[in-house]
Amino acid sequence: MIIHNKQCLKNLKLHEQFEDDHNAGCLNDHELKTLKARYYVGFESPGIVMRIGLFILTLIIISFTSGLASLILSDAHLIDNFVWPLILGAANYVILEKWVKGNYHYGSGVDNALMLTTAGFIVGGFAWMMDTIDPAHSSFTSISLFAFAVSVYLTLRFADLLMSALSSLSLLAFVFFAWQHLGNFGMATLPFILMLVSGTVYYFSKRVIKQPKAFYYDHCLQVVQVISLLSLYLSGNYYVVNELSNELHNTPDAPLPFGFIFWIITTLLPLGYIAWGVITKNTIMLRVGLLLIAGAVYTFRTYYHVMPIEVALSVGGAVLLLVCYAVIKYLKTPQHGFTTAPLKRSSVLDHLNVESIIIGETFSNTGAAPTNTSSRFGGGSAGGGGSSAGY
Amino acid sequence: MTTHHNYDIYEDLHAEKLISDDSHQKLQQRKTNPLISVYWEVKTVLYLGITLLTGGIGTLIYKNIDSIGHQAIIAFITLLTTGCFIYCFKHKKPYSKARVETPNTFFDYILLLGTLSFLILVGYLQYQYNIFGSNYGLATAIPMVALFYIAYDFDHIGILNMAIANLGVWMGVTATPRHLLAAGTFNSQRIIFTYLGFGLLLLAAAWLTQKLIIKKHFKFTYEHYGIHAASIALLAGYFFNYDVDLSFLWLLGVLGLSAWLYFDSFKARSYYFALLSVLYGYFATSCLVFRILSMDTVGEGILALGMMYMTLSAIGVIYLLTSTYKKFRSV
Repeated sequence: MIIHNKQCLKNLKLHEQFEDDHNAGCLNDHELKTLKARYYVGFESPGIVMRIGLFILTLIIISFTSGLASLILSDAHLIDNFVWPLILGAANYVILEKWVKGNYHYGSGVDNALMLTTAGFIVGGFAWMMDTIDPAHSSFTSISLFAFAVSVYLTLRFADLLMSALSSLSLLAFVFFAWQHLGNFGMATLPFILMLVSGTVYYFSKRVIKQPKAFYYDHCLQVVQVISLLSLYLSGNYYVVNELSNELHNTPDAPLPFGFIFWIITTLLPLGYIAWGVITKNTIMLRVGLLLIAGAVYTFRTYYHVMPIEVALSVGGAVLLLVCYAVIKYLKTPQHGFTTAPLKRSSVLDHLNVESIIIGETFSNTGAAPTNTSSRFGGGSAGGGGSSAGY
Repeated sequence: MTTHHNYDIYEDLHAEKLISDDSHQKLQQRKTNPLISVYWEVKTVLYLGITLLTGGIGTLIYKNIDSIGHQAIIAFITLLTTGCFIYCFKHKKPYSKARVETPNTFFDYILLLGTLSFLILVGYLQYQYNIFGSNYGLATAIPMVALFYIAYDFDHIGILNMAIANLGVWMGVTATPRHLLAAGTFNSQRIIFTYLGFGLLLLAAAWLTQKLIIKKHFKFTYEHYGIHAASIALLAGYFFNYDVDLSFLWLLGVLGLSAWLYFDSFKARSYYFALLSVLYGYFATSCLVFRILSMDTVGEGILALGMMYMTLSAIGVIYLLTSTYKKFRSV
């Protein structure tokens, strides 16, 4: 099923393992190098910067070649119906297959871009076709089901992360649209069925990931886990459910029936994720839980204004700092399998100083902000002009 | 730990003497007692806490500027600032021209908190008491000097970023790439030249870090801001002077800068800068090509020619990038 060379994939997984052990300080630099040389990986999988560059350039090439082809054919009225995007999608897919097989690309940016355009053209063509055949009933249900099928196929074939994300999202979309057709009952139970589906998807991906059959798909399944944990929370979040039900029922500002259930989910689920993540040493759950705390706080503040925002910010910030201080103190010697010791990693994040750039972006305006009143602006550039002349 | 972590493979590798006894023992230990590092989680939450706290305090002061006594506010922020800096000076390692590792994770963030509250203090004093009068140059120069001092003395790249942004404010421009593009303030020749000067100054600073061997790891930050500011200023200069005959000289400036950066990136083995140089250079070349194409001589086929140019040139750039990447890997 999978297109890539299995031996190379196996060695790639070994490389990941070696790097992981190296980060943990168990292998030294020299050993890492020899081991990596011993298990050869022939893939073209460059670093993240290169990947983004190639991804963008490939998208440019695809859009301009298909644009050029459409331009040439447009006079003959060959591109006026749904067959044209399907043809383009098929052509993209053929190029993708050939490219990946011929050049051993795996996550190089080129294959990611081609996959995205293939799926886009084919699903877009399908939607157009449904609209042509039966404009009255062309529904999102069939389109999302078709998108699910396409992305699952591409995931299995190429073990691609983006496609696995799209698979889980289109499955959720399908359930969302299909369940609505059940009328009032469907509307009332929509959040619960979405939660049920997300939970089931999470449960199965957790079960499957350890299987030998899923050996090449572990990262894909991790993506699925993150998305299903997020959607499990979002489908029970008070804000989301309230807004969505008002939108679907056309009843703005109506309070949510049985709102307390959703409040319980909104506030307790992130804490549950964190607790369960710590107990089972599941970092994915822990991280998603930490992220969702912010969602819970935001939801709470939308409906209840216990204190002014600036007080809430200050108190919240101080509490976070204290919690961190306590965690660092507590984990000074590793406890229960957790440590705060930095990983010995020269990852891309460190390499590009991402953290410091974020600090520069967020705090660069705090410095001069108080002096930067409207009258200052004109004066400022004049002052700047003067000083620039000085050097 | 990866999902399918295979410890058995190390037994063979150990037998083949590819893994030392020491490492083998460590691996055994990891197998029986795996540790999970929450280093990044803690750092992220610390960063978030400081953002919230300083943002909250800033707004709190701004809103209640009339009701709380000024002395009380000043006393509180001064206390916070001095508290943070006392902690930092107590735990700090001595200054060195090389990289200084931080004493602990918490240290960096206390330093950041102290710096931010210091900036709030200076801003507040200026707002309330006008201590610098209308001398805005001085009002922005003092925080800038302080930021550069802190960045170098405590070896904090995050604060160096803030210092560079403040240098930009002092010169009358915004510095971060996002603001550069969002603000769109390239509406006068003088601002464009200020930006260009700012960018070139930073590039010179980047070069000096290597030449004088002072904090060599600061080079990335200087070069990052310098190259964006200088290239964007040159491109803005081209579009601002579009109707002038010699406007293509600005594009040649971009190309020259890109070429220099491209070859310089090999020295530092930084693929990020190689990519930037190629992309800025590509953009400048495309501007030139489209200018020539739009010169009326081509006539009807311009759209098709333009599309063909885009496709072929993008293929060329991909080829250039991949071959550069291979060179980087083989060095």
